Amino acid sequence: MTPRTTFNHELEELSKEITEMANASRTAFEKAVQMITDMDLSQRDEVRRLDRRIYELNEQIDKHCLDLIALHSPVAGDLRLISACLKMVEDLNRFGRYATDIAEIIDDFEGGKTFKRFESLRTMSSLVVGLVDDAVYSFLQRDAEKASHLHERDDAVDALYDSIFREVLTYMMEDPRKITVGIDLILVARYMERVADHACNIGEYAYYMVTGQRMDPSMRTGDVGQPPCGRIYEHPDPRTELDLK
Amino acid sequence: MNMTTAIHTEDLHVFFEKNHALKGVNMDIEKNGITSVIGPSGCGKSTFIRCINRMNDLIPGCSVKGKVMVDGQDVNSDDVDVVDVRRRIGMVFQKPNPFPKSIYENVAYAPRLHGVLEDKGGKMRRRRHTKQEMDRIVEHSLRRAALWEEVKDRLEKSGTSLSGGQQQRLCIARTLAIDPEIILFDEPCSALDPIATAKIEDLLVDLKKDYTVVIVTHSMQQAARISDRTAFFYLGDLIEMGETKQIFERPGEELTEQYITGRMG
Amino acid sequence: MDRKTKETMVFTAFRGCALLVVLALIVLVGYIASGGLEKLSLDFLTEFPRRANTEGGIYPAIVGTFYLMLIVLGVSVPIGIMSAVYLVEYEQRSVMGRVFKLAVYNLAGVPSIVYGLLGLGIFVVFLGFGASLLSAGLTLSIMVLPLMISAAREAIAAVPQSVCEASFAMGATKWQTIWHHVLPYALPGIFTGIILSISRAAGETAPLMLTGVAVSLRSLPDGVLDSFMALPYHIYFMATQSSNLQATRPIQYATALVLLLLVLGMNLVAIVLRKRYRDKYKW
Repeated sequence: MTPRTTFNHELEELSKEITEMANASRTAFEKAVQMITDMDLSQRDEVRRLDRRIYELNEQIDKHCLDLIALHSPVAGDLRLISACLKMVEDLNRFGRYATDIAEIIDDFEGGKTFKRFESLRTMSSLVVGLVDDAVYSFLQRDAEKASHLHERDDAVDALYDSIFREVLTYMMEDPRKITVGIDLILVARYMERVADHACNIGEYAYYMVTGQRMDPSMRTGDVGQPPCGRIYEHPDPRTELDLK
Repeated sequence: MNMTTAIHTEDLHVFFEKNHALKGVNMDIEKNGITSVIGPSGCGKSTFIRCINRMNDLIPGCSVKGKVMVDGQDVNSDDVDVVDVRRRIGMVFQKPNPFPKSIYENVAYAPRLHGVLEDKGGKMRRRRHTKQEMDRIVEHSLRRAALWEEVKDRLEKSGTSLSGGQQQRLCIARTLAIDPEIILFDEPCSALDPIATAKIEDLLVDLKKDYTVVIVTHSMQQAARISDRTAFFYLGDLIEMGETKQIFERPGEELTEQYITGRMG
Repeated sequence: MDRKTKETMVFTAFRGCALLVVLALIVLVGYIASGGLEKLSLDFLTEFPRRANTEGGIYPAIVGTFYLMLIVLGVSVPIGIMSAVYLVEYEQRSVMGRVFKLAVYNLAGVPSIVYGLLGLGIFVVFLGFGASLLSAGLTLSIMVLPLMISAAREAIAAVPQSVCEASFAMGATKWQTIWHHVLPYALPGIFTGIILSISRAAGETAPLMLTGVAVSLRSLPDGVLDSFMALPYHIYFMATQSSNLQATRPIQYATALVLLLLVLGMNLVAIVLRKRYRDKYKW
């Protein structure tokens, strides 16, 4: 029997909670993305439900971590784990919020087909989903290697966002009737870009938790003009017209 | 070894009859800081610090091999004056052990034993203290040990009439009275309540300005709170030593991590 | 039977035994007192015996016993303490230490008459001290030495190691530690040893007989090599060999009472001193 059974038990409970929250956040975002790609508006309620659960878990995990610190004086690996959890719940919470925001925009929008034909957005959404997946897994599986490569992909996401922004801007300038749609499009892209940033944060916490070192801050500001992976990033053909029906 | 090293051990081995208690310890302890020594029971931490002031000589059947360099001199060599070593290196024990004499006599004992070293026409000689000198030493030591205010009106009372925490501070004052360079603490707070412990910890942090402090402790929180550097012993080996912050946030060795997170069964 | 009853029974038995001892003492003292109290007077204590010990006092015997005790104290206490210190502090585990310990234990079991012979052979004859205070005193000293050493050894060994460690850690030598810390704190135990030794020495008759105690003297001994009288022998002589056993019976009892009181008196002094040192060096 290893000593500190209460503490170990509590740590296991914390792990379960954070796993549940991470999965819920990931699922919420994926379902929101599904609403874009498959126009499956029925997912909206599910996303809302998940967001509420995410919020509850946020509070729960916060309290749990503080209890552990107050009562058990964690050090070394345990301390880094708890510190990472405390920070991560905020980012996971954002996933839920952005997922809800995206779901609401898409749901409200009448001419949903527009989005379906907007390739860049779908590309971006699959990139971000992959990023979120890997960030969460790098934490749950304590994989510092995986966590250290997330920044490169975030740079790609940022580049995509910039190009979507410019593209939609041209459409809006061409036709003022497209401004409403355009703004919504930009917002969705913006939310996804923020999700990607938060996913990178999670990667940083995971890296610190495993290695005890902070990641090199210069990695945060990547060179946006240089897409690292040509395979993932495809510059879409600009559409001359958006179908607004 | 550089100018800021107070104690340097080289290949230090200790045997108790057939039991190999310390296995080749190489360690540097810095001047004017607090170094804590942690490890599970029986890992050799008390044995280690007792090598520094040759207290292991008192244990029959104990043999110490290797170098213990203090101030450029090997304290462990056969031709060194043990009495002089113990004058320069003080020790405070786990259970407060004031002499059953008056508080004044407790503090005055050691200075009286050693006399005052002074230069008389080129030769260093020792003479007895005058009453004023002794009074001054006693007051200064008690002040430094944060005990003066509490006992200044009852210096003639027996040392054993004090509370546990006060007794331990008296033992510290007693050690300070001969102005050592290094003070060794062997689990000084384990017999004390939390408030007395806190007072002594504050005292230690104050003392490190002028003395080199080495403290053996089985409380990791204590080591984390007050020490600048921490050394982890396990089964007679020095497993890891480094800055306390680093040891408690990112220990380099697996064994260290297991011990400080309490997973060493 | 249940536990409570058993416990009560056992404790009653213990109490009974203790009472028995007290009773024995009371009976003893009472018996002697009843027989000799009438004879006890200032004259009795300060006069010399007259008419072949049938009249007068026992003054020389009292003085003789007193001088003997002084010699015993003067010889056995220093030697006893020093031997005990040596035993405990310097030769804990060596062969010499073990041999010494064995010798002390065995000496304690030697009968007093054998000590008497020893005294006769060595002090009276060989060293030529003759039948004197010195011979008897030295013989008695050797006889109580094992007692003294044992008690002192126990007292010294009972000094907590922590105090000695503290002393060493401040740079005291072994001897300084012993002198400043061990011996003062062992004093109560050493006094116990003194009490036991004196009680034993004051009452022994056989060694006195063999080292030449006198039956009757006109004057007090004026040197250690002079002859002497002593209380225990006086009692023996009068109870068995005096000219008129019946008439001297009260004198015998009175002498016994004086001896008892003398021993008790010396013990009391030692007890008071022991208490003083116990209080002075409270743990």
